[in-house]
Amino acid sequence: MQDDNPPKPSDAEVIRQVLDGNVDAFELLLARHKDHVLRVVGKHVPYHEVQETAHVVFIKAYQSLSSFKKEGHFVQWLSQIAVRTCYDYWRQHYRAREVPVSALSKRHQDWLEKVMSEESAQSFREDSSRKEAREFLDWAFDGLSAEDRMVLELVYLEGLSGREAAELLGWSLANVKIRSFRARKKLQKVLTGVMKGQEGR
Amino acid sequence: MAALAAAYREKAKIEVDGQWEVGVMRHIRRLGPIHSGGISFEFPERYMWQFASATCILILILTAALIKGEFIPEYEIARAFMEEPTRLSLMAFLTP
Repeated sequence: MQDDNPPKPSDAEVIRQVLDGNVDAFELLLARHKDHVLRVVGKHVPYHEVQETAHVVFIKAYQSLSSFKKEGHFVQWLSQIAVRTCYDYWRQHYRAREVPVSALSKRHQDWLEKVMSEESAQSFREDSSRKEAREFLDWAFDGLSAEDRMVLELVYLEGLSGREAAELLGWSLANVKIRSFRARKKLQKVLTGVMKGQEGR
Repeated sequence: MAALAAAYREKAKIEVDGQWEVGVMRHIRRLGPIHSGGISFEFPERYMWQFASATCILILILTAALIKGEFIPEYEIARAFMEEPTRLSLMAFLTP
């Protein structure tokens, strides 16, 4: 019995078709990897910027396709482009920022107090608490530079090794290690400052 | 930090509709076909700053070589001819 479903072409085969001039073939790569790119981008940029940033990622991937090494993993290569595009986003955002970081709102201070009193395991399951956690995260990271933010997110929040983070960002391992140490100190200072404010209440 | 990590993971849930894919492919079709061996737009930007420092050093070396070398501005040539009028000069040929 003949198989009616022809085998799907591999990423390498699709890339070869695109490089041979078949632009429409790229749609297969887009459909196949869009969820992954959206997931990566969604972790690093604000919600309302995800679609635009992911769009830029695929455009950069398309334009750089000829530089993709055939023996490499396409998903890993695409992840590098995604992470570096997110880093570029924050560099531009940091340069363009005019308004200084605002103080933490009372709602978020209450959430932080709840977290620190070890109620977080239960409270985090509540939708409102998850929303506050996300907003607190955005606030805490808003005062950091693009470099510090990316390193903290990759190493401390995502749990990647220094080497993995360095490969994604295109930095040296030494740079990642130094940057992550300093960035963590800065974030601890921010959180300590908030906690001292809590104790004073 | 565990609560922040959980909030960070929560951020990753994004979905898009079909129009987003259509928009991306429309942009790509506007760019047109690419070919193997073409120019990469990703890597030149990464290496640009490495070449910038080498270019600055080269400019300094060339400037030092010009100052130390035989290069003399035109007014220096004119002054040399005026100070030594007995030297055979272009002016002797041009004046009747």
